[in-house]
Amino acid sequence: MSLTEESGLPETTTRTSAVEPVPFGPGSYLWEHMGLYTSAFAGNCAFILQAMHPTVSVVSDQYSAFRTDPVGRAVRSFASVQTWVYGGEAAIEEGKRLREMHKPLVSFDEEGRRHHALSADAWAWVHVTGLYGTLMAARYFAPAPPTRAEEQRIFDEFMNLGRILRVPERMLPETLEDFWTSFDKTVDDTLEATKVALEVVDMMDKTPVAGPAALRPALARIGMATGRVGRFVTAGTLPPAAREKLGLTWTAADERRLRALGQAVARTSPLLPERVRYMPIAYRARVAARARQSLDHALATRPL
Amino acid sequence: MTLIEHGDPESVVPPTSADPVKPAARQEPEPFGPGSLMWDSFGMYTSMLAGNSAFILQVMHPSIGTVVDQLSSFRTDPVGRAVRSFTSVQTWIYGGRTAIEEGKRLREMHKPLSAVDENGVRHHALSAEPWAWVHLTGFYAASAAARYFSLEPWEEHEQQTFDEFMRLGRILQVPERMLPPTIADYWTYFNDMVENTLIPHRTAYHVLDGMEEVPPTVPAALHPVLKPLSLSVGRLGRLIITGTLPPVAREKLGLTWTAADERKLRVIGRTIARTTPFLPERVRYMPIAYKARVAARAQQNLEHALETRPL
Repeated sequence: MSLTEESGLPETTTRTSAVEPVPFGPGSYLWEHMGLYTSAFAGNCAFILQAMHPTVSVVSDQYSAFRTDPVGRAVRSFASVQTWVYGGEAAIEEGKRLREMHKPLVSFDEEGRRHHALSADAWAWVHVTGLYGTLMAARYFAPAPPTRAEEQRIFDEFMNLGRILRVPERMLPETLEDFWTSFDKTVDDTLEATKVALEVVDMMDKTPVAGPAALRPALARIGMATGRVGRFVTAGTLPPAAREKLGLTWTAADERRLRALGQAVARTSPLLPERVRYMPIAYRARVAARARQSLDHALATRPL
Repeated sequence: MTLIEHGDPESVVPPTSADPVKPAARQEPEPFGPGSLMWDSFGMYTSMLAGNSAFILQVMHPSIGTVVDQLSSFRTDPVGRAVRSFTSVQTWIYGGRTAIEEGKRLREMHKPLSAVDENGVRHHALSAEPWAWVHLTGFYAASAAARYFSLEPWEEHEQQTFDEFMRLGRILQVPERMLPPTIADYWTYFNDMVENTLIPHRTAYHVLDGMEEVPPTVPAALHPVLKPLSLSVGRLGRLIITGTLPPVAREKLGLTWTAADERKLRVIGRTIARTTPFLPERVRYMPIAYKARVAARAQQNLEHALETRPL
């Protein structure tokens, strides 16, 4: 972290990372967890934290389809996230594509300040909130809270993910402690109750679920119920400082309910078949990796 | 195929000026994958059944017959020997990068193998002619298999099958000059070899006779039970091998083949061709082939999902 440019400057060219990113594969923590529907559900607070960043808020306010096509926008985001972890070589390509895609996105806020989607701190914030969301998912939606070693493992793998996502090397925290220090600082000093963050929180239990007209009343009810739980989980997994900034209340009873919900999900979801627990790209990648391992084993142990 | 060396100890000798391709220009072998004819046909148990005649043609070559006779475990452990052969063959087609390594491993393994025949002639396993002959008998077996055990017209696939066999030859490190450029060249060379080089080697008789016997590795107590089974399976195998040998090779071995035998083989072949497609893939293909096919499909499935993901 010795190379410091004035943070906030757009990274117009992709810097060559000191460490080349390695695609994820079986055996990693993210391979086991990132593709789970429950992880996506538990990690939603990351999106709110992103939207609370002034740059992310201003740019997505102007360019994102989250208002006109909220479901489509979410589906594309999840497909991209799955590709980072389960895409193999396609993950590296996806990291480059995302930077290219965000390159022209520049907006001005009310005070006339210029915000660039590729600015180092905004880009790094999107990545680092993913680490926070994953740690929260591990804390609330697992049978037992993660050990120090597990948290370290999640951290290490996220640093590799940061390189896949072309986060400038100097923006990657060196240790788990460094991460918490800079994370808390950003929440305290940089995040705001932005227009987009408030809108997204408000939308969560109002988002219409697409479907045939005849089913819409029923789907709306399902959408609302899911949205209410989602909103509850999101509020509970946000850092208290962020929650306060957004004016969300959180009681000790809420905390107990969230823990009970997390335990229930952690204990029941493993009983479901893999095909249902994992998102499509993740499921297929896992099947393909196992088939490949089975073939490699047969080849390695063949009679010579 | 004009340049045929007899019994040169190392087929890796520097090519002479007459060699059409210099080693430097040699095409790097490409592993096989889905979409090739080999991928669909090679790993089937039925292909192996029909391809057995290739083994007889191989040991009728004086060098192969002599080296196998003296150095192979085919008599003491015929089943183990066959399993290892079939596994290696599967690896050539379904091993991906491992196929390339397997080609190199086979050459390394055969490097020290040489044997002297009754006439005092020394034969090396790695000589260009026998090494190429092992590979070249494969295309013959494929054509014989297509004739008897397939419902599809051979002519439609002949050129592609031939091209893929030449690719396999490169995987097996067959010297480039030993690979015939055209199908016509292939048959000229093949017929000449059968006519003028192959002999009724005693190893060929050992293999044929061994087919009807209970393998010696089976415990003696089981022999009475397995004897009738081995005899009937062996008899069927022998009928198929005899029928799928070129007539000249059959004559050299003194094997009889009647019009009634031919009719019987055709009926068996058609029955196999019509019924086996109904069996599940897991049963029709040998283990490595099956796993490779499953893995390739799973990979294609993933790639499709990645390519069509909403951006």
